[in-house]
Order: sequence, then C-alpha cells, then structure tokens
Amino acid sequence: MASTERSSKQIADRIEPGYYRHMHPMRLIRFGLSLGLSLLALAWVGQAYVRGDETIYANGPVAAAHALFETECRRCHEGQFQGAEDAFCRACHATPAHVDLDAVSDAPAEPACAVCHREHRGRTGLDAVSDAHCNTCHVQHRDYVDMDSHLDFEVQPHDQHLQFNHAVHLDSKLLEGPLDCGSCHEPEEGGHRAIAFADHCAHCHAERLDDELPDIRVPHGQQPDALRTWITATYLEVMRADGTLSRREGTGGVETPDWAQTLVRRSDAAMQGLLEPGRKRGCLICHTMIDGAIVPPAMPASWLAKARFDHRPHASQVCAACHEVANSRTADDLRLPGIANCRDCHRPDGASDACHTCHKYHR
Amino acid sequence: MLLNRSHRGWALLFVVALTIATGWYLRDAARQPDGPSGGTATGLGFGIAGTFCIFFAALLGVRKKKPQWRVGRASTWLRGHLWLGALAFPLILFHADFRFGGPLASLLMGCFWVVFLTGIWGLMLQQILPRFMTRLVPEETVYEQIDHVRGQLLEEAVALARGKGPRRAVARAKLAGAIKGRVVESRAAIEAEDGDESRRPLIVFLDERMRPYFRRGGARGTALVNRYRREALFEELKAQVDPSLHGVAEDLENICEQRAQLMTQRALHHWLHSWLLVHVPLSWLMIVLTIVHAGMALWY
Repeated sequence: MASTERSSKQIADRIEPGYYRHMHPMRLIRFGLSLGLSLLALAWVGQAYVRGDETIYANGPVAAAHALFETECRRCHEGQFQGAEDAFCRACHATPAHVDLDAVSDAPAEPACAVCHREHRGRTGLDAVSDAHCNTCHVQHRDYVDMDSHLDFEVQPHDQHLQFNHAVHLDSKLLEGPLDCGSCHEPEEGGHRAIAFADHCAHCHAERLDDELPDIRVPHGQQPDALRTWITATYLEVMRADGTLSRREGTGGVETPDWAQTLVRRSDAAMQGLLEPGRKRGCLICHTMIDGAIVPPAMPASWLAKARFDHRPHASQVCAACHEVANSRTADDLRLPGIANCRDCHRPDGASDACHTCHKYHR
Repeated sequence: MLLNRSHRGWALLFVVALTIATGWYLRDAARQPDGPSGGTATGLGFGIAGTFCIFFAALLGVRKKKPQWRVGRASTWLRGHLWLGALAFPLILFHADFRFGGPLASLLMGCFWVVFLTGIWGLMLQQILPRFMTRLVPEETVYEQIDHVRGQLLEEAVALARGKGPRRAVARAKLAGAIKGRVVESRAAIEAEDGDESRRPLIVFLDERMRPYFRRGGARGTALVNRYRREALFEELKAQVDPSLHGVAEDLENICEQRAQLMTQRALHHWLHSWLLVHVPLSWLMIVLTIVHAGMALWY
C-alpha cells in the first residue's frame, strides 16, 4: 500500500481550532444523567420531607411493635448525636430493671434499653437479644455455647414445710376417685395457678370442728392461738344456741358455773384433734409445727433459680413426659426434669436455644 | 492511567490504611456482640474517613475542569482518585457493617457498589485498550474531531480522484456546500470540471464505493469495511486505470485505511469511556445522597 505523506501542519490543520469549546454528545449525556439523577434523588428526599415520612433515613426497619410510628424519628430520637434514650422507651414500657446486676462481673450500673434491645434490625422482636450480647457482661457463661455445654438447672431451696404425697393423690383407690395433674395444677398465663387450700384441697381435707358438728368447718390458715380463739367462740355460740349455756333467774344474767368447764373441755378436744401429731386427719398431715406454730408452706413461683419455664409452648406434651410423679411420696421430691430433657428439642435446628428463651432479664 | 511503578507510594498508603482499618474493624466487631454499627465512634470514624476519600475522588472532575489551578498535577489527582476511591469502598463497608440498611442507605450502598465496580472495569480497560489503540490506530486523532477528519479525508480523496491538489479541493468543496469541514455535496462541482476520461474509473469508484464508506454512520455494510475485500477492490481499480494512475489508487486506498482507523478509534474510545456514562452520573447521585445521609445521621 502506498502512503499519502502529510506534513505535521497538514495533520494539525485537520483539527478545528476551539473544538473543545463544544461539548461532545457523550459528555452531554453524562452531564444530563448526572444532573437528572441528582435532581431525582433530591426530589425523592423532598417528597418524603413534605409527607413527613422519615423512614427513608432509618438504618433499617424498626421492630414490628414500633412500625406504627417508624415514620417519625423524633418519637425515639432527640437531638444530635443522641441514640434512643430510656425515657422514650419507658414512656410506653413500664419495665423492671435488669435483674441481678450485682452478680455480673463488669456490668454497668444499669444498661440503657438500647444497649441490649437493638432497633433497626428488621421486623423482629426486640426481646430477641443475642447470646453473644448477653455474654458481653455475663462473661462467666461464655463457655455455654449451646445446650450441650449448658450446666444443669439450679433449683430454688425447697424446704417447703409441707407433706405431700403425689402417689396417693394419683391413686385410683381414692374415695373421691383418682386425681390427675390438672386437678391441682391449673395452667394460667406464665405458669400455673398457685395451689390454694380452698380450691384444691378443701373438697377432701376440710376439717370438721368435731363429729357432733359436721357442718362447722375449721377455717384454714390459722395459727394455734387464733384457732383456739375461734374454736372457743364457736363452741360458745353453739352452747348458747342449744341451751347448754342457760341464765340463772334473779342474778342479772350471770351464767351457771358448769358451762365454762364444758367449753374448755370441748375446745381442748377439738384442738387436740387438729394439732396432735400422728393422726390421719388434722392440720399436721400436711403442715409442720415448730415451737407451737404452724409453719406456712413456702412454694416459690418458680422452682428454677435462674430461669423461667413457660408451660404453654409445651402443652402438647403430657405432664409425665417431664414430671414422673406417680411414685413420688414426699413434697421435697420435686421431680423436675434436668436439662438433658430439654436438649432433645432445644437445639440449633429445633426449638430456640438462645439465652433469652429461658432467662428473663427483666423481673 | 496505567498501573505502574509510579503508583508505589499510593499503593503502599492503600495497603497500610486498609490493614489498619481492617484490624480496627475486626477489633470492634469482636467487642460488639451484635456487630459494629455506623453509629458507634469507630463506625462514625469509618464513615467520615470513607466520605473524605469519596469527596477527594470526586474532586478529580473539578481538577480536570480547572487545569490552571496550581493544586498539583492532574496525574497525581488521578492516582489519588484511583487509590482513595478504592480505599473508600472497604471503609464504607466497615461503616455499614456490610449491611445495606434502610431505603436511603440501601440506595447509597447500591450506587457505591456500581460506582466501585464500574471504576474497576474502567481501570482494567485502561490497562488494555490504549495498547490496542497505539497498534491499530497509528494516526489517532482527537476523538471529538473524528467526523471532521472523516470529511477532510473524503475531500482529499475527491481531489486525488480528480487530479487536483487537496487544498484546492477543500476550498471548492466548501464552496459547493460543505459545512464545518464536512462535505455535504461536491460531486456535481467535481463532475462539472472533470474532462479526463482516464480518471472516470477513479471517480466512479469514489462515488460508488468510497462515498458510502465515508458517510457518517453508514460505513457498516459497505464493501470497503472488510480489509481483505478492500484490498481486492483496489486491485480491481488498478486494473481498470492507466498504470500512471496506480499511485492515485494507492493514495485512495491509504485514505480508506485511515477511515478504517477512525472507525477503530471510535469503537475503542466507546469501550474506553462508555463505562463513564454509569460511573460519573452514579457518582454524582452518590455524593448527593451521601450529603443527605450524613446530615440526617448526624442529626439523629
């Protein structure tokens, strides 16, 4: 191929002087796109401002419970460089303080709500605090990475001062027919209704004053002194009613002297019937008496010292799956299942095994 | 810009800064059980540092617009653009804890990803395509003047085919209606002066083969686009003309070759710069959104 020789001037002459003053179409498109997109972004922000919707600035969706006011940042945030303050939380949530802070090695005096309950992490519940978060302060539990490494349950001290025999109560030979767990342990929100004498025991265990007065029941929950006062007053009424306590003529209403002896005798007999050890009836078949006083039974709301167990999610299980009480003969025999019983279901690919599932940080 | 030894200082700065930032992030991540957040002191630090890098990178555009400013060489600014822009990416990811966040933050992060990736793509192209440009387009011209030069080449071809000098041909072409150096229609004027029958094959070739090839945007589909076919056609042309005009035919072939180079230059230029159609507008969008994001984040 031949070459057409050109001088440098000829080549330079090809370029228009001042060509750079005209914007090339590609530059023009670039500029137009830059300007257009920037204006579009400002319009988007502007319309959100006009509508009063501040959701676009949020660092992620708020928890489902707060979604109603997520368009208003000021509902939780106030002032510059300020996170959500506790006062905003407590305006709606009258929550007790974090429990057992003194037991935590390097815990702050009282962590702010937002320290544990991290917002803007999606439509999840704020109570779902991560295990790692708990272990920030609970350093002693960092080794409990799962249910397998978790220590067994710690049970509340349980000197209940109560005698109770599960085996007898579940026996089919009972005069009133066999009981089942639900006869006494009635589920209610958060656990079981406290067992009360009037509701759960009185049907069989209500004490009569004596065999001659089968309709008069001894009030439950009285100490011996108060009980004697009640018994004496009751017998007095009975004696007045049946004429044992008659008035002598012409004495201005003074009773005959033998009535008092009768009253004391009957009262002593009743007290003995109620409080004599070794009998098959009376107060002491269930209660303990120390130094002349009946010790009230002490049953904690939860037997677990550091955890809470909610029976409701476990309602599909029969009671005996966890509590084998058919052979239990004393109240001290709690028959609480160990943690091994939980491991079958509470595992990473099963029911939750997070700390907060059982350990409630607010009490 | 070629990545070569002249980048060593910036590369070292990048590696050191990235190492420190990564270490700091990992240390913070280990201390924050739920992961770091942009709102903590460390997170804010990453955000501020990343924003500084972004704004510095964006200032390259201003520096290019104002070459008379004595604020350092453009090449230094370009190196800064590359390395600080690259550093901004991990810093912002650390700031955001690798999350997209809410609507504004998500849009911002999406823009940032696209800007970063297009930047990497552009940098890769800059390493490869200029070598092709040097090899395939030895007579490279100013990109914006490709159409202008194309018109001039056609004028040269017309003058050669008619046996006139290029300068005179240009002047006559302009008289015949050329606008801004582009020949609109000079054929009538050329033919009116043409009385030499021996040049007829050249003029016919010019009209039937070369003019379509030189038409703006119309070169594709013409016979002269293909190099081998082009050589064959010019061999045919030489066979049709007097041997004394073989030199003219070769000059015409050379002009066609230059036209081919201009087409190659345009294609390579598009590859070299089309990514900027995404990179630059999204960078502007990102800067606007960054200002809004920073303002609102600091407010709350």
